[in-house]
Amino acid sequence: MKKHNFLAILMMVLLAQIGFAQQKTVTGTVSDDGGIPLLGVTIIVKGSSTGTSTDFDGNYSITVDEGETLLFSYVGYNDVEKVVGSENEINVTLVEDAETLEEVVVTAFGRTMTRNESTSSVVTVTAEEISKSPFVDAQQALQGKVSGLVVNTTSGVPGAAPEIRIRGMNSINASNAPLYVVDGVPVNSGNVADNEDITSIDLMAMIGTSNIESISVLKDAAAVAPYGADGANGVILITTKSGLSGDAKYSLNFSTGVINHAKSSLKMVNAEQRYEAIREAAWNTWGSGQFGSGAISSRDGIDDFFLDQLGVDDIEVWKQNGRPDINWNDEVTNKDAITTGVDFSVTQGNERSKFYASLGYNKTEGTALGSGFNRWNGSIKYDTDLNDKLNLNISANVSNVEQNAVLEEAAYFSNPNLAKYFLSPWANPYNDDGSYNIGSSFSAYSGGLHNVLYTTKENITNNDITRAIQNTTLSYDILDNLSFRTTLGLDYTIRYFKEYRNPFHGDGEDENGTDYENSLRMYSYTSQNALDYNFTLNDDHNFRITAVQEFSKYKDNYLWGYGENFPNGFMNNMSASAANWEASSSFNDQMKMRYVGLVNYNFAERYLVDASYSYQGDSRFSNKFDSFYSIGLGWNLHEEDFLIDNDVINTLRLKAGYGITGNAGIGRNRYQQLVGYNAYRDQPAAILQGYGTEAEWEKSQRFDVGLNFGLFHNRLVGALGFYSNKTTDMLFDVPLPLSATYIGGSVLRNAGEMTNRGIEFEIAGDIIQTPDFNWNAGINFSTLANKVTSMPENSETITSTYVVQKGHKVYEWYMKEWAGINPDNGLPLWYINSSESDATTSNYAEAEEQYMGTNPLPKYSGAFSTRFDYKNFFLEGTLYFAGGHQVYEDWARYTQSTDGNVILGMNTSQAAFDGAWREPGDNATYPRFDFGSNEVSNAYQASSRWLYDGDFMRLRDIAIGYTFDPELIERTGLDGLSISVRGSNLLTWVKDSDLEWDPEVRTNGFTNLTTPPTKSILLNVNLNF
Amino acid sequence: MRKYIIIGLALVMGSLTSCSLDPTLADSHEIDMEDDVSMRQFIDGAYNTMARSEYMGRNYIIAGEIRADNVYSNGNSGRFTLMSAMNLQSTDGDVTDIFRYAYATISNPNVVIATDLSTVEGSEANKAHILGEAYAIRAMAHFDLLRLYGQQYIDNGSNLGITYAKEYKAEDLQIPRSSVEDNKIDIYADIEKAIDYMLQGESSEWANNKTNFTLDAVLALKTRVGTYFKEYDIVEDAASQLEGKYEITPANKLVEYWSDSNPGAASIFELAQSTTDNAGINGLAYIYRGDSYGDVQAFNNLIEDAEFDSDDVRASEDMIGYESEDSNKLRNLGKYPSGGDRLGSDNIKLFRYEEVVLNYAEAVLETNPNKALELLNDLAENRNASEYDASDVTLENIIKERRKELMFEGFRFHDLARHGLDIPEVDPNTSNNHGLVPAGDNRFAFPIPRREINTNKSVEQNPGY
Repeated sequence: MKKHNFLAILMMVLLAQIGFAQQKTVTGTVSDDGGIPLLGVTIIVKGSSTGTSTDFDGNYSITVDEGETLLFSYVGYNDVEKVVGSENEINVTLVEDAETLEEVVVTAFGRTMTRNESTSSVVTVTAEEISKSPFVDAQQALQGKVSGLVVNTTSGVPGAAPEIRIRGMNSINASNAPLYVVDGVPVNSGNVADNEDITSIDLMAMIGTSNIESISVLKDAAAVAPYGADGANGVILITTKSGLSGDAKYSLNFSTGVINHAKSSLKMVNAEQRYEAIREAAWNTWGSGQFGSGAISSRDGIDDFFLDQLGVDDIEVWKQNGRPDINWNDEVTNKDAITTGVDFSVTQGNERSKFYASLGYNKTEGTALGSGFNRWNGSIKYDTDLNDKLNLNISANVSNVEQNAVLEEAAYFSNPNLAKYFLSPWANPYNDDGSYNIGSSFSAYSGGLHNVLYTTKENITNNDITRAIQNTTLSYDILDNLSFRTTLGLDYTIRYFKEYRNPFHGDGEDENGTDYENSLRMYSYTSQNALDYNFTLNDDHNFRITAVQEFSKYKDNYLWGYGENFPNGFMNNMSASAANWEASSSFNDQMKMRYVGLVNYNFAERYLVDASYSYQGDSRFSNKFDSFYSIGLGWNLHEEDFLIDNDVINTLRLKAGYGITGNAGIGRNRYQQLVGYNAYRDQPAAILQGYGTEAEWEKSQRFDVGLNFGLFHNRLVGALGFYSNKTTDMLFDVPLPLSATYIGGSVLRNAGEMTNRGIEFEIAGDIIQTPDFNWNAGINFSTLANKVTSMPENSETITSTYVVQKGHKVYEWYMKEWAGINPDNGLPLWYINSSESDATTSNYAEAEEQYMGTNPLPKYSGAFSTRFDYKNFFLEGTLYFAGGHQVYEDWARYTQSTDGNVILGMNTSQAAFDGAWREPGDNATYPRFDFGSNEVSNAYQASSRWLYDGDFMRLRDIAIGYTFDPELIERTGLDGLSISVRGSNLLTWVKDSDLEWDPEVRTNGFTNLTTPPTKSILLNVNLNF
Repeated sequence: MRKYIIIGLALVMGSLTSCSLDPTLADSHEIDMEDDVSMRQFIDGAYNTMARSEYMGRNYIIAGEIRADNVYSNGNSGRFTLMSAMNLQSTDGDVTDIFRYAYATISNPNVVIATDLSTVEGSEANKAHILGEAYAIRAMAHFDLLRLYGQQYIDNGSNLGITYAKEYKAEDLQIPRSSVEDNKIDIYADIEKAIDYMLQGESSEWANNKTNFTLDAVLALKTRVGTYFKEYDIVEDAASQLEGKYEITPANKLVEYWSDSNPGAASIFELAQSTTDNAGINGLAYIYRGDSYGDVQAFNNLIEDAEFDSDDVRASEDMIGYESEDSNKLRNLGKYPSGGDRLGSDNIKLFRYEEVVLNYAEAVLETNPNKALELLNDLAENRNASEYDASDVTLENIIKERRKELMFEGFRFHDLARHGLDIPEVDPNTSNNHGLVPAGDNRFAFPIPRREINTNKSVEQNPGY
């Protein structure tokens, strides 16, 4: 306890300097009404700046004058005042404050309210749950914690931006992402990667998870409407940690673990199987069996036929090389990727001022070869009363992230996630001498694909992002019940991106090396002024009125350069490049303004009315301003006479809300008919960029009713609600006929309506509560029913896999219906029109598309969680589940083909190899192997063959931990020590066993050539001192 | 006092931040047509779009080759496989892209045509010439679309042509498909307007530039359109106006002609590409060669099948051959040859004098066989090929000569189609083989893209899709 001594000495020196007569030292113990000593109770001498706080044993010591008053205060307890008399020891018992037991919720514009005063349902996820999550992005911790909120992992690379959807998908062309608010100020969010081809990088991953005190999710009308035009997709409020009163308290958190892919993916064939498949395809095409042309008389002649007749030497070369068999999945996967994180924080405070400061570091390897993430972040928050009316709060959160990204999503030749499926097991990444096999000796036998082991090692795809978020708030209590607050929030991000492609192999080979670098500088400031007034009329009529004015401006500058032709393989900046330099720059800005009025009224906390009105402007529209409003009603039945003394029902609240919010999530400057420039003959060439638009805000009408209850001394709490979001005037890129249009071929209009409805249910109970053993469990569950209720014909989307059409779900699957394999000849069959007859055809064009009745959005999702505490041990777990939706396997044409051309160019799957038709009568699942038959190759076109039930269940979280007894560690100088081991996504259960891919795909429902979600095991050590 | 200063400061800060909601337009502006310079920029925008790989920069040219007997798709990068197999669907990217970009090319000319020129500043000659170019581009793009998507060569069709777009507006312009006959009338009308305006603009600085439409290029277009519709008097009239103004590239200059970054003496109109502004890996060079894409490969027996003479420079090793000694892939090496640092920087030669000569010869085949013989031999001489006798001047030989001269440039399919010939199967053992496609088959027409069918309700799909 060295530091305590030191502080005590310091304190005494200070006190001695200002001390005068009749001073004496008072000591004592502060405990709660159960006699348990309280740590960190603030003790101040009223009317002075002298103060101290209790140590671990609840002891304190302070120098005071006789006659002065000591004020004991502690969060959650009633203050106690003691006048110092002649005694030298003052022991105090603090009593829990019944009022503050009521959980305080953070709502729009940083206003806090008790649940009893609010008609909104706000779900809050606490620091504990966020900081223990193994993911670098705090948002990932929300999965399974909040009913109606679904997190779709877009890539398993650390730092990649997840897609968060609250209560389904409420927009089609405008944004579906929620609004993010940090400490009351809206901030920039989303993916800031340079392009769609590489791993995304989430701006929210810039905020260190350990600095977050809580994340609140606003879903219902009354809660989101104050954010008016930005609230249509829900609001995520992030509150960062603040300082605490008392002596310096330090916290050190250390974690380390290993990460792997959460689930195995599509299994590909090995080298010998590939050989067999190619030979089988050749025999069926040119052989002398049932189908062949007869050009090959016996199977022994197949290999020679390739070499001599087709001029294809792949087989010959493979044999000469000693029949290599490469498992590309193993080659491109970074097994047991390591993650390490260290976070350190300190907080200290006295009667007037408090601060919190932290420093964190995280280094996490990606599971995809060549990917990784590391982050430094530091923060400080300082809160001080300048005088008894003025308060200043300053916070800054600065971080730097470096992310090694990889090519993802689509068929990029150096995408490691493509390589594991597309690359031939015959293509050996190494030469005999151990060097990399590169250049045409590799690509000539790999379908032109690159040796991704070499390219990921030699190429650079790097994001280096620095972000600073700084808020300054000045509050002034004009009267006891009238306060003014002004906040200036700055959000500054610089993203530097470098994409270097080496000169020897891969994407840079033909250009002798390329380097592309760019800098994106994003800056926004938000100024918010608020006046808050509350008063009570006739004792029971409680009013709170808030007026807010907010203005924000965003701007970004983008600058890029490109060069080719490098002198060697190790200099990779443009300064060393010799040819084809290019550069460009661009600028964007956007402004928003809003005036918001909020009224909360309650009658004796029994009947509640919340109303909001906001008038909002946005530079993205030609008609810049519009209004939004909401009303919420609540009835606290437990405050009524008939329930107030009820022993069973402690909380019973009925509430309902209705509100209009907006969505402006569209590109900037779209309201003008624009011309941009390209070049022809090195002169400016005008390119038409769109027609401009009169379109206005997309509106969302939200309605919800709900019931909250708490039974048996609130040991069993729960909520049941119904919600309905009706999106109207949907912002739609109405596609125009391609004849007579510009390249984009669409115009932005308000068209169509869509509803999302469902129920949300949460229940949690403290099942067993004993001094030694506690068990609690909870479940949350939500449903989603989506329907496009109105859609002009010209705005419909009809593709070969999905539609957006009136009367159907949004992105409802729509495709030709697979009827299996013809057992006689191994050709694919489709239903011509399953709604009319069972007739089938092998002619793909003849089959008609059918509505599948499902879409990619889960009809239900939820989680079950439980926790056991036994003495100092705890065990907890969360099981997440989602289902009722379907996912579509993309890329099967290249990964699961029985078409010899495709197999010879890429590879095929184990399932295709095992399931292919071999002889008449086979009940096959894949068509026969064949070269160039249109029927066979059409089997890999879009059809319900590749549509799977998406239902899955995942052990999201399981952890076991131990907290040391304070007495045990006291002599080490520690106040607290806990250790836990946490596993995430350790088990996955997929309903449809034919779906080999990870079922957690992005919102559009297509499996993709992307880094799959991960599982991890993490050791966590937490020290407080 | 102090607190008032602080509050005052806070209020000042708040008020400073309330300003306008008008965004800065930094990278684009609203459409205006101030002077002949902005007109030029609009028309150059159309050339830029035309040169994109989705249209003339690659796909259109490949569409004219890969469905015939010169080349096929080896599927190396999965490109042009369905087109090669003539197994197209209305949702295929290539089907949609060509349609999209050819029509987008037309949108800029339509903005220029809709402009009241009296409000536009600048040289009258320039304005007239640019307006002429606008009509020429509109004629050419529609003609290109008609050749792919029209029903003129299918037995089951109703002789539907394509939508003729004459406006650029933010409305659902539900323009139905015209008949092939009406398309032809519109195309000719636009060509005549182009000629009229270009004559008015003869003194324009653009009148002699081979990288934009000129009077000569419009005449060359007219010979192409006339030949396609077998309206040979129109061809003869236009071709005779070009005779003597251009030279057939001599045999010893042919390779150089194709690799030269400036238009040669035989060129009438080329789409300009440069080392800094080109389609790169999406261009013709990369699809015809290399192991990365290199999907479009010549049939192994192409040289024999096309009946090249042994000394014919067009079948020399520099023009059709193998990229390396150990390669067994026969390639177009001579046309669009730029690789390495200069990948894709070849100009796209849209109109060469040699094509006009062949159009001319075909046009006068019946009416003036001597002239046809003279024209054919002019070409043969310059290719180190044996000369034709009077008895050799047949349509069959002209079609063969066209195949040899215009190989890899996107003419072959249309030449077979317009003469009612079958698409032959060259080698049953190649991948993505279309087999024999008899004349009149539905596959002679591309499907109308699904995207268009969905948005333009007045448009009818072609049979078989």
